[in-house]
Amino acid sequence: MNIDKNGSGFSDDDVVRSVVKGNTRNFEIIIDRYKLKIINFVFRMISDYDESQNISQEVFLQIFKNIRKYRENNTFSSFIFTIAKNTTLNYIKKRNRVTLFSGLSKGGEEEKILSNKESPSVRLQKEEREKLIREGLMNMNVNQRLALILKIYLGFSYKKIAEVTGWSQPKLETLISRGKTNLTNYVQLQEKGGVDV
Amino acid sequence: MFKFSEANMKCSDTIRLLSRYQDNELDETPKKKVKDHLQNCSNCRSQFSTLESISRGIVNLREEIPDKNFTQLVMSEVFKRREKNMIGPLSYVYAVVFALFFILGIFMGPFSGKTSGGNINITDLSSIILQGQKFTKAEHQNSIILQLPGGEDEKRID
Repeated sequence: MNIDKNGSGFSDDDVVRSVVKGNTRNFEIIIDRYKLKIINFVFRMISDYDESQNISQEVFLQIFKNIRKYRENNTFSSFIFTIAKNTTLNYIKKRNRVTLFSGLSKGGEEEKILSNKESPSVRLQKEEREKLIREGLMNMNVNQRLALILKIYLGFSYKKIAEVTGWSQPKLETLISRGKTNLTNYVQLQEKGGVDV
Repeated sequence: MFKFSEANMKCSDTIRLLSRYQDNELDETPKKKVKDHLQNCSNCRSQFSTLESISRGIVNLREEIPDKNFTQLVMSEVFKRREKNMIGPLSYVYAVVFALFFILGIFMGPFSGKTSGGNINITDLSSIILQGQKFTKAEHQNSIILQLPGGEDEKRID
């Protein structure tokens, strides 16, 4: 099977099979397909741009190392996000604390200026909301945060979240529901009075 | 566990199911009941709209762009580690070969380095040269004796 550089027309499973057979170069296709989602998944979990790049690199190295363990009865994305979840949680555990939102977004200001055609007040409001959402995520229990990011940012079904996390359905339903409530309360409280929580 | 026997769902039951409703994780019957309730209850509708707004907030968080050389960095590390993994088993082979030579060396040491000690099969030979010294074979009862010409050193082989 000849897979071109972009892997167009080939499924993840096709590419993985070719990598396992020894076409290491094709692992690039996997990286290019998933790097944006992995980096942003990690970034939403830890809120630190530089660290999320480093952790994501480690995630892909772990994926390569364990690629022979992938079984096609689960989706490949479940496989890689399981590794991303483990690597990120290990990092969080290691640091034993998560830096409260630090706004370490690389080139963020520049991007905003170049891409935003909204009025300054609308833009400011959106930026403020985004900041509160990030803060709220970082303030909540790490499992609730993980559940919300898998569900809302990545759009995973409950079944897929259970595959990635190993949580039971009732447990993840509770985490998601409480996570939403906590985030809502945090944002509303901050918007109303700016009270520190 | 919540049962859907009532024709009209209560607010408390709706709120309990709101998150799963929003995530599209309810079966058809409860889903329809929540939907009907929301159409008729402004309080629950308001709560649902807050949930929607918060979720939109998460979805709309700005996406960070990977470093330009992200893929290259990972790939170069992948190749480095693959090489290491290939050298790994080879060094194991080297170690085994070295150990074999070492063990052979121990048993053959006397043969190559000393004029006394060790067992040498010279049944079919009449003489042997060790380190430049010529030994001659002499049979004595059931033994074979290696003798230096002057007779100052000898090795008995039983």
